[in-house]
Amino acid sequence: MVKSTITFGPQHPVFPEPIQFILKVVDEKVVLAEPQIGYVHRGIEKAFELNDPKDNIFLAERICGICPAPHTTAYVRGVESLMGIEAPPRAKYIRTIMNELNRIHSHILWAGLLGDAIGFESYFMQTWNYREKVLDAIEKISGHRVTYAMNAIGGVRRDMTNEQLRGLEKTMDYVESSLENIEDVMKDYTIKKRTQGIGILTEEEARRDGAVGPTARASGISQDLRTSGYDAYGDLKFEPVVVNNCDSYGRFAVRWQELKQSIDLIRQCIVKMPSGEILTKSNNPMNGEAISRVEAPRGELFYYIKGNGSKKLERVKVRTPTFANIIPTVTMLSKGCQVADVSVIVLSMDPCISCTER
Amino acid sequence: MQNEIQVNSATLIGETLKMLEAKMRFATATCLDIGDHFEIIYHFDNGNEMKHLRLSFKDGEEVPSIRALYACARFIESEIVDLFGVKISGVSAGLLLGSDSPVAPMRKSAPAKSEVN
Amino acid sequence: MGIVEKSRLKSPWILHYDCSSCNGCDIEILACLTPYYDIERFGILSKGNPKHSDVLLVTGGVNHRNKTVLKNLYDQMPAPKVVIAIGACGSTGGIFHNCYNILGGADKIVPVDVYVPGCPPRPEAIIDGVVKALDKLKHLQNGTWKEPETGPIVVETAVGAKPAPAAKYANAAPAPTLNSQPTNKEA
Ligand code: SF4
Repeated sequence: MVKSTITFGPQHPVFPEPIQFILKVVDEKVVLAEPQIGYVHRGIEKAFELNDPKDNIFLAERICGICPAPHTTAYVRGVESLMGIEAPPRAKYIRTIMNELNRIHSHILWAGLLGDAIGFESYFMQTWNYREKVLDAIEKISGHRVTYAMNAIGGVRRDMTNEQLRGLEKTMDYVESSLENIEDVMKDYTIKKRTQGIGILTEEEARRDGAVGPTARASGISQDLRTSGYDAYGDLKFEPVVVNNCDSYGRFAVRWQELKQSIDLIRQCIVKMPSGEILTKSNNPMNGEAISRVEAPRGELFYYIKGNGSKKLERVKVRTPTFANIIPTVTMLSKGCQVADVSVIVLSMDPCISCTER
Repeated sequence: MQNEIQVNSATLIGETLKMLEAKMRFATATCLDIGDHFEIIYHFDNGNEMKHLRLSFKDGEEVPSIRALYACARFIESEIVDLFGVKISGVSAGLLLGSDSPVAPMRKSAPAKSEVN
Repeated sequence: MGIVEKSRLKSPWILHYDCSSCNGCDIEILACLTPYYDIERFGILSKGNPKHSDVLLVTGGVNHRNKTVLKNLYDQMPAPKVVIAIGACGSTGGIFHNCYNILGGADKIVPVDVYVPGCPPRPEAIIDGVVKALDKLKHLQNGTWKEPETGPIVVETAVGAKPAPAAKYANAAPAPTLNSQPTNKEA
């Protein structure tokens, strides 16, 4: 058998980010995939130890420019538990709203990139057009499109006014109706051909390889950290979206339904929004060890924070969802997929290389 | 931390096997530089609660790898080897750092930023 | 000016390389391509191939592993070419300045022609940066380029602008920059 080696990346038109896959192929079939990472490694974990804990919020936000809200939420929740304080209820609701807005824009972004990867250009353009509305809503709340800086240790930095909440409601209506416009994409023949049965990850494999987030939920594992009820999620009604397709189409379906779920969660937050303070001030020393986990758009985000009572943190460890999803992707790729499907499979787990390597 | 078990190089594999049998997911491992020794905390999760194994070892000591039990430990262990310069059997460096990068940069003794820049 | 030179200015092709950015700048560049900002109306196309590109957009600071990749990409581009550093990171290393693996901005490895500050810069600023770079490309083509005495070309973003009065934020009026955006009819 003739085996050839194809290097896929690091600079590749389909991926906005540099990741390299060394593919061993027989004819057109991939038999082995070896990921090579490290092209965006910066050393943020070390910088966490050097900076002031308050400045670290902005650093945490810039681990990943696509999901700043979960990163800062996880970081401040960890530091809060070291200090032994808790954010006031209104702050928790605002955090939840920001996290869900983040999830909406991230999932729409992903849906567009999938369209781009399979050559469905008009779909890519359409979804990204809708996404701008979400970004506008975020900008009206926080003052910036991409990096929000909403979280502070002990609460949030900015309150939301009633007009903002009402504006948010309108945006949600707009996003919901526009998603309905393009919902038929799920039934599209070409999309089905390119995703169904492509990139199979069985439930057993997902458990073995430690898949998280939509990748795990598309393989029939009901794993959603929001059910643990951190922040305001304890007061809100929702069920994790789980499907049993185990393929790229399943991951598409999970994200599509999560979009609707997030819209619903935001509406619930707006209705239940309590009034009161938004910040608990505290000068307690940061002592001990804490683990803080939140559900980012791509899955479980894990922060381990250790303080030693001094002004600076001793260690911050970040495990991002994509890091956990790389091994499952290698499993999917190594099952003899076509070279043309590599980009679809890699995209189907929604890679975020920047946060993987930190 | 809650649900924490102290292990050493000899008992690590046995305890990990127990986790595997209890169908726990291996979330990640954190390496800590405590000055005179190193610690690696292995975090496991079963959906409701987390369990942790804390392995302490001296610098230069080779600790066993849990890759054979949990395939997903592969990158996690190479990252630790890369960033802390510790020895884990059968794991080589070179995952994240380039050939010109500083060596073992996450150690407390490493300079914060190399002078070359 | 021949037809090739003229077309190059009317329809510059862009190559984007993510050095070690946080993705914030990358998705803003992608947002430029989509209907809301739509740089295609200026004839600007984003291409994945360095051999077809005239403009290189670099996001993020250079690190020890990707410096060779960046250099290779730059060398593969045909002359005349311009390089734009996007974001605080691409210009200087930005917030990651004290990370051990970061060498600094893109100008440590390749000559940078235009800097677009911001973290991340707004899509309007990125478009502005490309337009400024085209001016330089024109002069490079004609051989009439002179370094400006005021130093490197930097796109002015909202950073230097006068802050809005505080009361404006208190009653949550939309940020002032919103007015300059193209209006979206579907809203
Ligand atoms: S300038 Fe800001 S948004 Fe852009 S890559 Fe750097 S940290 Fe990210």
